[in-house]
Amino acid sequence: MTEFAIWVTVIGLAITTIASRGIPLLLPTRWQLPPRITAALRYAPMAGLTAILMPDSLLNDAGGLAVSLTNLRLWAVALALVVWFRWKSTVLALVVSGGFYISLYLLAAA
Amino acid sequence: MPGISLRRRSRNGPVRQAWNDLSPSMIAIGISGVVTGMAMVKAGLTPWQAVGMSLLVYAGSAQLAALPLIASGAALPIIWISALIVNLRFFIYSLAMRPWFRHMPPAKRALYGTVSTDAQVVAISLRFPDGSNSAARRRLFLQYFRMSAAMGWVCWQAYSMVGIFLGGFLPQDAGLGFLASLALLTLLLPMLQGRPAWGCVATAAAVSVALKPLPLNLGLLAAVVAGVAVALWLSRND
Repeated sequence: MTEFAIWVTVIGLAITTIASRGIPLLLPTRWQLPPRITAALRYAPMAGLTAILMPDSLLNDAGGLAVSLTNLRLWAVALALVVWFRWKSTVLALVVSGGFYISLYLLAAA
Repeated sequence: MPGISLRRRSRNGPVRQAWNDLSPSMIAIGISGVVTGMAMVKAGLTPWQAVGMSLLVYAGSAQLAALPLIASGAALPIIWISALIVNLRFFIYSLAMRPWFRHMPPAKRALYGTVSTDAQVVAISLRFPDGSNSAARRRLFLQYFRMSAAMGWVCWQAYSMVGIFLGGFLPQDAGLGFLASLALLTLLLPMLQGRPAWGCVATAAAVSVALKPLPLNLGLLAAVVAGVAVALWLSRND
């Protein structure tokens, strides 16, 4: 892409950020969602995070399902869950599962 | 997050609370920032274009979705729509936070929405689960919001710069990008309690994996909608 095209792309992307995050807050305040829907919307962030994480863990580079004992990513996710529910520390969960993943990944690549 | 204990209503002001709640997630934001910074350079952006993108776009997952498309010379509308769809989960987050911003002038509301982050919205959904809206509580919310938004912005930009300018010294390997996803998982962990939450996560996982082949990252959006719908259904008797 040319310099100009890159900047046009970037400005357009910036607009998508503002549009998606800012516009809901600009809707007229008299438009109210039913309380039950508002209550359920607090589950949206966990759905969003899961939807970013799981395809990355469960699918291989070709897009096929990679559920096997040799899938390092699944092990890392499982390890993070175990550490979290045992010790209730997100930092520990990340350090242990991330450390496990990096060491075995680099080992396999070597 | 270790900092979150919902029962403690101590002398700790909301700024301090935000610091405690969000500190652990700064590791996650930092890793994602470095990965995104490296990805921008790898996609062929010059360092200054990458800095501009980081400052102007400020949306890691949307940037990561757009960069391969930029590198492969995809048409502009495809790049934009793809990023928009990844970003649309924030539309739903912002809808949930809307009652807190009712009293503000519109421009300020839009600015506040634009600087919100995943980690921050997660923390807010735990700390301020209800839309209860007394003036006093709203003041606490806004202080909490400003502090957590500032932490996210500074941390993200700083680590993006590390990725952009020092990424050359780090191993160039796509497999390591998974660390960013793993970091996102740690934001998710504290929310895993109760049937609606588990139902939501299981549904979002299944839908996002099944619909991954859809173009423009539509699977992500579908997973968020399906996850919220299941949570709504499972909490119908509450």
